[in-house]
Amino acid sequence: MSFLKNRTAIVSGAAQGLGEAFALRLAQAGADVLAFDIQPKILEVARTIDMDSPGKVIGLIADISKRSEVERIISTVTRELSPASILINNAGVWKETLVDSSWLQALDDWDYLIETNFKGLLMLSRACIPSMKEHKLGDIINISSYYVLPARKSGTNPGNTDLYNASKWGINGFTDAWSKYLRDYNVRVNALCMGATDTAMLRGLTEDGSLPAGLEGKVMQSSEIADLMIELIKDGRTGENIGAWVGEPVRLEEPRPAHKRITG
Amino acid sequence: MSFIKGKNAIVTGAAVGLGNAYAKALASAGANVAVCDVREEVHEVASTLEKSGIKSVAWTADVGLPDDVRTVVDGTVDAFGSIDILINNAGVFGASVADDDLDKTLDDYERIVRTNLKGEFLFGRAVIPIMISQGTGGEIVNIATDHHVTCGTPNHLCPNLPTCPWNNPDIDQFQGPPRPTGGGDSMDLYDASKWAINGLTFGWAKALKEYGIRVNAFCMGATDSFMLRSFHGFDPSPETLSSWMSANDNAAVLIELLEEGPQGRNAENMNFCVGRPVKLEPSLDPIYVMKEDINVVS
Repeated sequence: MSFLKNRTAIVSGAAQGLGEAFALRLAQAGADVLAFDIQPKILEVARTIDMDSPGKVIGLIADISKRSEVERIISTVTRELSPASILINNAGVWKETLVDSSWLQALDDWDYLIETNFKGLLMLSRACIPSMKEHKLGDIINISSYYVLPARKSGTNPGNTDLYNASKWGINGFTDAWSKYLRDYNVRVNALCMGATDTAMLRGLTEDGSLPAGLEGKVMQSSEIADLMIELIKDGRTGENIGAWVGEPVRLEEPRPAHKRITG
Repeated sequence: MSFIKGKNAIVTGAAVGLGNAYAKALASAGANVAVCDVREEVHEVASTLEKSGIKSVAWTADVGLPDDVRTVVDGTVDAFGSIDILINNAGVFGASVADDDLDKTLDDYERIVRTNLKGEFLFGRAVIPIMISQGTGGEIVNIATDHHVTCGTPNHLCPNLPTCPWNNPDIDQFQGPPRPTGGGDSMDLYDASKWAINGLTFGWAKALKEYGIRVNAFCMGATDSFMLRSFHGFDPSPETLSSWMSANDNAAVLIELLEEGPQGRNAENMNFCVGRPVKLEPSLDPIYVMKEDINVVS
């Protein structure tokens, strides 16, 4: 399986969970991968993937919320591999944000959640898109939340997550506008709108690192979602929010009609 | 029995356009109205509003600056004693595309996202603890855009089928009813800032139902306003002008929404798109939150 041979991918937040699974699948499919994360363990993770797959994998410690770091990511990928034609916007943070929190807490929470999930994604994408457009080849996949799709039996956002929600809802604006702007340049932009997946982010919610109550045996696996990501790249559609819900099979559904591509 | 009369409201971005119309409508309905805007003229607006026989206070303020927000919100409590209604209206627009350079992008981010999203976040988070501690419920209306909703109306149910501009396949790269989401390709930051407001609307509605505080959003299509006139160089053609909705009509719908009171709809994006009547339509079933999540306690 090497259909991504000669392509370079950037995966943000690749030190664990979904990002690690995305980097692995892309490298297994033959792509060269720049895998970065704010956590130093990314270097070891990247080395391991590199040894086990045909694609060349480079790890980089970088903070997506800083412009200078985003520029360093781009210069590294260009120098060490080649300009990226695949961008997996996976890096994200989650935090409960109480609506009646203190004022100073609210200001801190804004910076924490919006700078990474929203502004970081924006900056990195802006930095990658010109070369995709120039070479008329690109696949951008934004990692979002099932909260932005119509509610199913697995429920919706818990209360007191206004900023996380806002950061993910905001991505809809990027997926929609970029897909339209880049359609004629063979650059596709979609989002994977994820329900609970067995990741370090999810296990970080409990003190002992176990799955939160009620989710044992139900959560999706990162490898399933990485398969879905590969399927989406092969499929070639653009401008769609693809959902993956706990308790339902993980699969790429038929493309939705225009008025439901984003809204679900 | 008016729900609004005697209540205390804040309207952001009230010097011109929709915000100005909302402030006037609230004053006419008997609410005291605190107004703010980046424009100095907002002080004259307050004087005008007081002619309705209500109290009004005004601040020149930037909704994206935390200190300015605290000044307005704390000042409103000082002036009126409480806050019952927040109309999160202030916003800016601008063109931005997927391959803009980082300098322009960060300038745009600072202006568009800070005003449209952070402004609504800050006002909400400053007002919510006050509303909760008052224990008398409250009303929050976030102003967003029709770019992030479909018209929602299947063709065969549309009352305006022959005249609906969205029925014209030439107007959009997509075809077919209902109208797809209205965002184009060249306002990505504006659209993202407005989409993100869904997170505030649905998150707040869910967290605040137990306090009897309703949170809804108006998703505005083309309305005769300062923002839209500036987009047309302050010289729109008569045909363009005649297609726009009126800010006063929309303000009348705002009053109707607020008059529903605590038992009314919650967590709803109300869509106002050109070609359809500007009126309060029947409440819809919630889509993005579970019904049981947002039922208002009696």
